Amino acid sequence: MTTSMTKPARSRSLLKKNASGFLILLLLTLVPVRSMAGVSLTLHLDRSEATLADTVTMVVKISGTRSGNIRPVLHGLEEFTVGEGGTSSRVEIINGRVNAGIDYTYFLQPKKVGRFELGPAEIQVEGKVLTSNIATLEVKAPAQRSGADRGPLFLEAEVSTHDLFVEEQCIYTLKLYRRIRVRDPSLSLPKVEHIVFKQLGEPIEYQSTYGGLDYRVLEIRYALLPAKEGDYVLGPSTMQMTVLQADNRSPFGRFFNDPFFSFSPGRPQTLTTQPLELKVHPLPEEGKPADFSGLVGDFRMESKLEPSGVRAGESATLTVSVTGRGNANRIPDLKIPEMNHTKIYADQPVLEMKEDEKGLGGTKVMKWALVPERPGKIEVPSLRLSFFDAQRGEYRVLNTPSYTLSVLPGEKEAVVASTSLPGSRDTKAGPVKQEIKELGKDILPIHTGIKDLSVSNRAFMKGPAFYLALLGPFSLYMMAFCALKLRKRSPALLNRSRSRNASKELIKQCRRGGLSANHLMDAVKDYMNNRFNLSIGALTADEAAKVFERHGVRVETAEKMRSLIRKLEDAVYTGKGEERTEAGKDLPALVKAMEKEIR
Amino acid sequence: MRRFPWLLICSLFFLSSPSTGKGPVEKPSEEIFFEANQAYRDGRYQEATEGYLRLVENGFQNGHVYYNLGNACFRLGDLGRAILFYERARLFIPRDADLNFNLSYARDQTLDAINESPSFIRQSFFWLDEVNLHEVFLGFMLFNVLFFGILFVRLFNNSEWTYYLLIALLIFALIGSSSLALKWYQAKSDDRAVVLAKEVDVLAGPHSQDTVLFRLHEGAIVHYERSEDGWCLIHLSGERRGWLRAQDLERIYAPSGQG
Repeated sequence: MTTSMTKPARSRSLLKKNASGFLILLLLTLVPVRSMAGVSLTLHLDRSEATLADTVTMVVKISGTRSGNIRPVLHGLEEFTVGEGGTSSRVEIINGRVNAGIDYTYFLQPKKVGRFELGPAEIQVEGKVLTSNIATLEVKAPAQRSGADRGPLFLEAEVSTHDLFVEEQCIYTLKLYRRIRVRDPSLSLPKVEHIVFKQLGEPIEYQSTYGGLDYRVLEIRYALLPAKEGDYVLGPSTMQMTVLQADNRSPFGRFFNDPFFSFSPGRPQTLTTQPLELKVHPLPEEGKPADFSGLVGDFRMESKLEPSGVRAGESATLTVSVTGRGNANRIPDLKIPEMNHTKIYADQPVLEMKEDEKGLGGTKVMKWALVPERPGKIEVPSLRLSFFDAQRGEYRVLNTPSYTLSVLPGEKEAVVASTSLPGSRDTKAGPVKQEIKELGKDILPIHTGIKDLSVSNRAFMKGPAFYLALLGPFSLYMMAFCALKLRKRSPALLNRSRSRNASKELIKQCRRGGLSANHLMDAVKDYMNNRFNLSIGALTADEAAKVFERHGVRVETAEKMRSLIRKLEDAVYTGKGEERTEAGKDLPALVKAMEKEIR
Repeated sequence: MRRFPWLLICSLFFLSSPSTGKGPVEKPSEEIFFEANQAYRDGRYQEATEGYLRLVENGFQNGHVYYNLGNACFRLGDLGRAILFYERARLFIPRDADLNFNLSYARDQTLDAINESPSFIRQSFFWLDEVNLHEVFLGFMLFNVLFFGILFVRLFNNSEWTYYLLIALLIFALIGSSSLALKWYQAKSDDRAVVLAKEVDVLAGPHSQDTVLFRLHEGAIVHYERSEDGWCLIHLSGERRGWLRAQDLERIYAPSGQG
């Protein structure tokens, strides 16, 4: 019954809890987030290269607010025809943090060839202007077409260059032009020995024109890395797909031909590209540096030494970073030459490869901990890296600057003098602190005080006082212990002690309360035995009164005691001995009175 | 009148005493101390050394006199004796900052690198190096008195708090007694000796013709084992053992002298 009553209640409770959770979430999504501190603005292009025939998609992302009132103002779009692609808002909950934002999409049609900087976009939040980044777009003239209509579906391939060097990368671009709907496309790349294809990013889709007709273009890019010189022919790439055909005869054709319902009839189609030629040249022997590692591309080298001054025994870190586009996996591990009085500890180099639509690249970071052993100036030599610049067609050598590391004496050799208070960390206040250098060393002076002539206390540890101090506490304790033991064992003392404590014991029992007549009778009997050193086995009221009177208790008091004991006797002999009695209430006062009268 | 013969006898005894009749009158110890200090300040280190030694002979064996003696020897260029007296001073005033600085400086001047790792017991009772025997004894006495005091209280009051106090004091008393026993043992069995000669050959046997095993320099601290015909058998912390002439070294703890 209880269970059946509680289950619905629990469900209601859960429902309430969930509903309140959803409500909070809903409120979070509805309330526009509008805090200047959390608002950010970015501008993003779907690609960095396009032709005059292409349409480029630009997205301005505003994060930290979902207010539709904020519209970005765009700069740098004078050479483009801009079409609005609408807005979309988003709410992300990452690690419990709500991040809301709104994206504005624009379609850009270039008007002329050139390199353009798009942006920045600007928004105004709480009276302050936020600006976005600037994106670069290179617009080229469209490839010369034959002019012939190539139909509603065709595939094209092109390479960024036909002449290149070994290990130089070129971009192989595949474009699927379509004016009809297709599904399930699959691609087969040509297989060429000594050439590796590496896909660059995700495929992108955009609008373009070809032969005066509008097409949707699906573009996929690959980096080609030739490992050996020679003349190559890149065979045709093949793309297979299902072409969706519209049935114009059916009155419901438009509805049922929608791929969403999968009722459209499809026919398989295979598209191929034209073969492409590549001429791969060997790297020139002329001017090849001795330390050339096969690195080809465009690289730059940066370095830093932190800190520039240390104490002897402490470490400074030399960091060298090589970044660039090309076969970054061939960046060599640089070697730092040995330095006098300096220990060198090399970290494991970290190589981070990256790829984007322009090709492969990467960064290699190398670090060394330099630990000077002596104070002074230490020259950190320059490091060198050579690579082949394929654009220039020559070898280039990069050098890091040489650094000077200032080494101060170590902690053990110098003491920092400080006039500030202990614990004070305000180094800006007061004069600049200087290090105290040790100029000499000598022993400290003699002790001249008269107290320094006092005789050692060791004499104390030899005499009888020493043994007295050593054994005294133990002896005193043992004496006290033995005395107490002896005292307890003496019958006379024991009796006296019992007699003295008898009344206390009886009063204590009475105050505890809840005693039965039997118990109270025994307590009174024990009291009399201990108090007067008796050995009464069975106590009667008359005998008790006589005993009390014999020891000096007044007749009236003894009579009160007699009547109390008689009450107890009555209870015991009428079978109520185990029941609780109230007779003990008056007993403490009576005993105290008797104690005063006992001689 | 009956006392007269005794007074007469006593007067005759003192008049015939060599100390008052023939020998020189001994200066008060304070005067010797001040004179030695003045001699040290004036750069008369030999006189200062003699003055401090006289104090030691007179029974003033304390850390400060040994420290001053060590300083005077150091100024005389007698590094071995300086270290010897600093080490003796350290038995009395182990926490004295001046002493520890000077001893450390003097040790830095020695030529022999002798590494001695402290034993496990020494590491466990690490505080014993910072206190002298008398201080350990006082600490032990304190806990001893408190422990038996609380035992005494418990003869009459068996309450719970006295029980816990008793346990705590028992632990402290045990630590105190074991510290005292160890310190006492360390003091009585201190076999360290300091090489006093500038350079000394350690031989395989107690004869000058025996093979030279290794060489030591002044200030080196060795462990004394026994003496034989003016030669001493010593060992270092490692396996090195050998004999050297008794006059070339002196024990830090002299059983007849120091406590």
